[in-house]
Amino acid sequence: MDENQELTKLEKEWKTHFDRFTAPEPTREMTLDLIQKLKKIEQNQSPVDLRLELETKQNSLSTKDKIVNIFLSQWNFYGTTSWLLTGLVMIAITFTISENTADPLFGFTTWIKWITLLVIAVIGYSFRPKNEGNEIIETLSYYPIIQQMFTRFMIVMGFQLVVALPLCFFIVGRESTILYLVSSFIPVFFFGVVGFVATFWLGQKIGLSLTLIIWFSQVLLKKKLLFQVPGDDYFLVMNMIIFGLSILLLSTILLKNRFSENFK
Amino acid sequence: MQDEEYMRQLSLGIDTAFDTLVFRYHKPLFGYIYRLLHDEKLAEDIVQETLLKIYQQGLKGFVPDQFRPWMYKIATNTCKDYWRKPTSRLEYVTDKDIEGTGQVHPIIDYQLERQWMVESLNQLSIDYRTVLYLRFYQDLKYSEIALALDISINTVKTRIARGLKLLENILIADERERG
Repeated sequence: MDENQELTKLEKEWKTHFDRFTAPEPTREMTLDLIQKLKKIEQNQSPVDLRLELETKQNSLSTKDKIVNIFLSQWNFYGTTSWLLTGLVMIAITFTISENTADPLFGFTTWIKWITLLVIAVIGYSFRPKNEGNEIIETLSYYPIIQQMFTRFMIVMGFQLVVALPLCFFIVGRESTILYLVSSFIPVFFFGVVGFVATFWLGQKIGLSLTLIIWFSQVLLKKKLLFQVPGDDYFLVMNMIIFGLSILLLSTILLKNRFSENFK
Repeated sequence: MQDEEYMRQLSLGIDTAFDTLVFRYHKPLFGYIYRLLHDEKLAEDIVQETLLKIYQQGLKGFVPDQFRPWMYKIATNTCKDYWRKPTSRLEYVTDKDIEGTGQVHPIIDYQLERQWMVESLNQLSIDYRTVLYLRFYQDLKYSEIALALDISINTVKTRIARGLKLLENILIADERERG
């Protein structure tokens, strides 16, 4: 029996149980009263253009307030716990690796691999579609979708980088140098950018799959390409290339924005 | 005449088209919201708010592609807005709450099945309840539920199957309690 047939059978079995949960029914008079009431409310409300009102309110705010508001709206919409949880996972990864590896260089390579995978997961999580009620949808309708996506990207990246950078000291201990900071920052930034840009252009599912393919190709490759550590032959060159590529990818967002404006 | 046609008429200024829609959907909409909130007065307010939004959208000229999923989307979102208010947080049951409480209510006889059904459904999270109510009481197709709740058809099917499975577990737990 396939899943659909099984579900139909299950629904049939439960139909009578559900029929037991009766609900009160409004009378015809109540419906007539409701119609009168609704029309009265609508007539009494001043015919204001809600969109215009929202835009006027937005325009009266300073740039600083606008930026704070968009960050707050995205932070609240996706829930504080979902963001904070990623920090905890990152800390857990760090401790697990630091406790189980004696060689700091090997430990660092393992750590950066897991941290970047986490970044991809968080990007996927934070760009999932969500519906949390009319009020929040109206609040979010203030902002163009491009601004909202970029804000979420900045929250994810800012949060991940703030947590990742001090943790890299924990992994490499006394070996810590500015170069280790660079080699933590750039892969995290790169996978964040790839995840975001791919989601932006290709949608959440394809974008995320593509980013995961890139990540797995790097993990499975015998030759180190993206996950370089200080001391590797092409460490600086490769990190510069990755960083440059990230900036180029990010700038394609501006390109898309310009295209859509010209199109309008 | 189709619901969407009435919305189109409303958008053209034919006010009586809205009356037909209210007559058609007052009862089912009230039933849906009442089952979610378990409070007649509150359900009346939410029904009013939902229909007012539909009326205002129609007057502005908006005609949805599919009326029923759109109406239930507004209704569900209005309930969510209510639950988001700090004073109503207790109403918002989550899966974790179910695992935590482990409350079972014994069924004494067949007549109490309604009470059992209400209490068992109440133990489910709102995500499961909305899907089950839209399917069993509002007779929406999977695709319509998907539209109303902004989820995929597969998620709708999964939630129905899992929701019914959870209810079954509650039933088994009840029977054990009695036995």
